[in-house]
Amino acid sequence: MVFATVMSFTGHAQVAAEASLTYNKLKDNNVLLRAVLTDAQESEPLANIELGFYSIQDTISTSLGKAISNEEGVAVLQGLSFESLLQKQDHTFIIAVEVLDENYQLTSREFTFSDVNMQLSFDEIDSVKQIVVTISTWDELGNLVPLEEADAYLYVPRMFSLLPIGDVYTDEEGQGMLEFPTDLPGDLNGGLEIIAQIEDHDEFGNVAVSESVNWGAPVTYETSKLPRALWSPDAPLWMWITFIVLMVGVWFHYGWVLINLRRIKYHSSDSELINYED
Amino acid sequence: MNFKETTQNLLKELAPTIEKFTWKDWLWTISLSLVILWGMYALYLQIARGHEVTGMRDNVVWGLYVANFIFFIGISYAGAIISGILHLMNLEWRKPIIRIAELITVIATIIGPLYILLCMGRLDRLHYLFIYPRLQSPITWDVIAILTYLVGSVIFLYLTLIRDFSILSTQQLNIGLKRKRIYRFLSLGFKNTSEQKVLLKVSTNIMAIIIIPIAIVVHSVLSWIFGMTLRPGWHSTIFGPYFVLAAVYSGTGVMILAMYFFRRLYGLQRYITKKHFVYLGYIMIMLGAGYGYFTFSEYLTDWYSSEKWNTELIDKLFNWQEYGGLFFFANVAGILLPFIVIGIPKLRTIESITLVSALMVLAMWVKRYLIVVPTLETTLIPMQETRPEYIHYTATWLEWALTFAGIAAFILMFKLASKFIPIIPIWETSESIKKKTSAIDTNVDLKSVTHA
Repeated sequence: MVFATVMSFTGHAQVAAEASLTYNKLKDNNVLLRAVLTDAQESEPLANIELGFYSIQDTISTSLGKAISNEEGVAVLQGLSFESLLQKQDHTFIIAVEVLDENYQLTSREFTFSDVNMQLSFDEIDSVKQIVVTISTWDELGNLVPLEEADAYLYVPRMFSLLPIGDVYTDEEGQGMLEFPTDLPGDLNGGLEIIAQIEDHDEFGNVAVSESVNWGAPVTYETSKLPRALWSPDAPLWMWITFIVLMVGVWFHYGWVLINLRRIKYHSSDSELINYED
Repeated sequence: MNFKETTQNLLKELAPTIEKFTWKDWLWTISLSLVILWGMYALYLQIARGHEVTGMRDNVVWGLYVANFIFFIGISYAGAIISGILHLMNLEWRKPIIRIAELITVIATIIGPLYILLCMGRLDRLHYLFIYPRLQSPITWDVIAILTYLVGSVIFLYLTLIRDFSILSTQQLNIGLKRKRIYRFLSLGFKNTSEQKVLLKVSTNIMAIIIIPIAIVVHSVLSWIFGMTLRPGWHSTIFGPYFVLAAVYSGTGVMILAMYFFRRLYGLQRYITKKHFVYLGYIMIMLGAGYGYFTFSEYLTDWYSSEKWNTELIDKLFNWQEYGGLFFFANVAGILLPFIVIGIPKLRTIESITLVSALMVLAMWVKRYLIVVPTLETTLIPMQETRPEYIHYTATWLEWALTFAGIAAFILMFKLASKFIPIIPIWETSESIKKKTSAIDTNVDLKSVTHA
């Protein structure tokens, strides 16, 4: 994260602003830029300020896009392709931030980042599963060299967040290893996505890569043919039994009474007179 | 006086109500028919223009019609429970009023379900309910239960009418030959032979027993249509017994009203006495106590849980700007007032019991409205950018017209039934009079023996 302070000395009262920029290279190779704008004197977030983002290459400035800061002073620009930022010679790139508000004097600040190459590989030796993270970067001549003493954090995406499974510290070959847990639930085939991230690095920013591997415990979700719900295709057996017992019971008695009515007619006397005696 | 003479005397007194269709009867019939016609016009508009003409919308999909449906099925309990239980307990005082109760049952069970038909958007698909029934649907349970209940109630009413049909077909009445033939056909040739007596008694007892659980099932099933739905104020385990109790309670109130109505209209003061009003009043406050207890328990539980949507509903019911007034009326007139009037001996007159019953019946109707509408206005998903009429239900004149048409149809059917069959059971009431006379004679005899 790089900080820049801008003081305004123009005619009307302008506010001095301080900006920081976080560079995030996502696992899909897209880039997300996150700038935080604060009041330089009071360090309060500056909300609703439009920021311009630029890529600087060979003194040529190319606009990447604009974003407005929220209540926390954060302005986010996302959906950028990594290729639009990269300077091919030495794998470094410069991003500039500009405050597009007349109350803040037209100011800008440049932030320099370097690209990093991170790769994930999976080894299984004697039933021990290991994730190998290899990180390398480019020297001034454009050669790929291992990156020593770098931290990388490993995660598995779960439903709502990333589950941390450990971190690695790279050796002189730019490699770090982590033993993989054996009981992590995967999909039907045990498939999992592993994400490795370099986080908040001064030179590389946030960089993430991901790979899939079938190292999880396969999880099968049994779906019942008759879920416990009344909108299931068939009524449960107990409901049928209850219904049939009740209906047969009631309608049997109705039938019995109707038969009795027939018998009352059958037992009628020929006399026109009613027997009023008990 | 022997039994035959008692019967003939009673028939002589009741005969004019069956023999003549007076100008008053015509006035009643025409007035009520006009109200029904008004309702028919409203129904025509509803069918022609669709349910848009009602106050029902996407969120509040039920309104007056469903409240009326619960109300009419509720009052049908008067016959099922009251006449069934009183019959089984063999209480003599029940005899003059039992037919009123049975008629309420049959007529209310015919009128009530009509409101469900009014509620349906696609009446042309009504037969799907019978072609593709789903046993797991409370709606299917309701249809089956109500049909079974209606058949049972008609059989029960018919059984208690057979002896009167027999009397009407054999006695000299100014009713015309055709009508007499109908009575003879319906009497099944009943001459009170020993076999017929036994068969009729057994059949009546069977129906008196069986109609009680059926009635309980019907109203429980009706309550489950609400109870099985995950909505605030509906999803309650006590809804079954709560509905059953409320139904018998309102049924008792309607029975008192019907008793008062026919007593005044046909001059039946000798048969329907203050005792009947007071006894039914006692039954009413007993049921009212149970109903009050259930009401308190229901709202206390909802309020105490402080669950979001229940709290929202309770707030609406206690807010004077929303349903506070109706809720207050439903509880004061529906629970407290009957206790005060019937509980204090000085206030216990025929008129006051009738008045308090009328208020109670109205309060019970309001209560049904409060069960249906405020809950539907309390949606689980927040409603945004929706027109106010989609959130708050207001019944339109068409719905009111059909409501009054239903009430008019109920009264008209009752009135017309009373012109065809004696509203006081002749045979059973004569039995009761004879028993009373015999008891007095026996007392006189015993006294003379003691004195001698």
